[in-house]
Amino acid sequence: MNCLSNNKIQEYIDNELDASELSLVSNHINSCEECKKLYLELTDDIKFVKITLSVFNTEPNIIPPIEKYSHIKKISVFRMPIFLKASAAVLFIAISISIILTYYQKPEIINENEMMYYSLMNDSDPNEQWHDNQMLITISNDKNEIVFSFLMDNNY
Amino acid sequence: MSFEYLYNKFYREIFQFAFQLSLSQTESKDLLQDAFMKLFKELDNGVELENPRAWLYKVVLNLWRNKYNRTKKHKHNNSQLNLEESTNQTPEINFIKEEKRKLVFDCMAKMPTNDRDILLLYHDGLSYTEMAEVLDMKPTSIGTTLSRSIKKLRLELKTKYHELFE
Repeated sequence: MNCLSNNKIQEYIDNELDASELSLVSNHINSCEECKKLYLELTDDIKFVKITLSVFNTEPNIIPPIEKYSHIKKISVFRMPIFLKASAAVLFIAISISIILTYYQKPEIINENEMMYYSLMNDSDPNEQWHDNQMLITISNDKNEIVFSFLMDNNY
Repeated sequence: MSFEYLYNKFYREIFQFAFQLSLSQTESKDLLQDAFMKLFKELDNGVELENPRAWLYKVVLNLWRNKYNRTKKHKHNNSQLNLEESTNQTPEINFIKEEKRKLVFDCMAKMPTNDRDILLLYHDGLSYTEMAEVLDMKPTSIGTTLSRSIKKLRLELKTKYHELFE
């Protein structure tokens, strides 16, 4: 076998040769001094270049958007089994009924007297309303003399 | 293959490759976004990609070449420090790293485009067939080009910045 070219040695180092060629080349490198020297030289060069180019190594300071949201897709509503959908519907109805029952208040029925009172109050003027809400209580003795009086004011 | 799967699998290395080309985080983000936008459209049209990895690399490379040809402002601004990157290192270590980056970048900018790009692809661990697809070359000529450009880069760096890289 003739001596190897740079090309062949490069391919040999990078493991790009066919199986048939591989054994031939490796045998030759082991037997031929010149080619062995060339092989070592090239290996050294490759090592140097790889180390040199590693100065470019960098980490992207970006958050991959797909990794961030990929888990959300798995809990899609349309892919849920049917019993889960049914139980969700039942739960929804139960919760809404219980909310209605707890917060529902019967409308208060106003009796006739109160109706009268409110209608009168609405018709009268503010001064009258003021006086209607005040009550003068007097206490008198046997001779009809006023002993004590006080004003009960419901305006406040 | 779904778009999500491809995105999560390749966004790191595509970003890395874009950073090697542009040496700027902002630029790399733009390139990454444009490339995956193209991929999304391609998949939306029902195109079956044989090798999505090589396809993405090729798209990024072409996008960058177009941009670079259009603007002609490819030279990295040496007076400005790249402070976007957050690291836990001390400022001195960061500074040295940044300087080294610029030296290697400038050195590689002087090389022919194919030689430079093949080195970057090789560093990212692409196979010969993938490299050939990205660069529109024959798979048989990859080995020759690769060994030549490796030697070239080493010689260049050795002669100019001996103390930094040995």
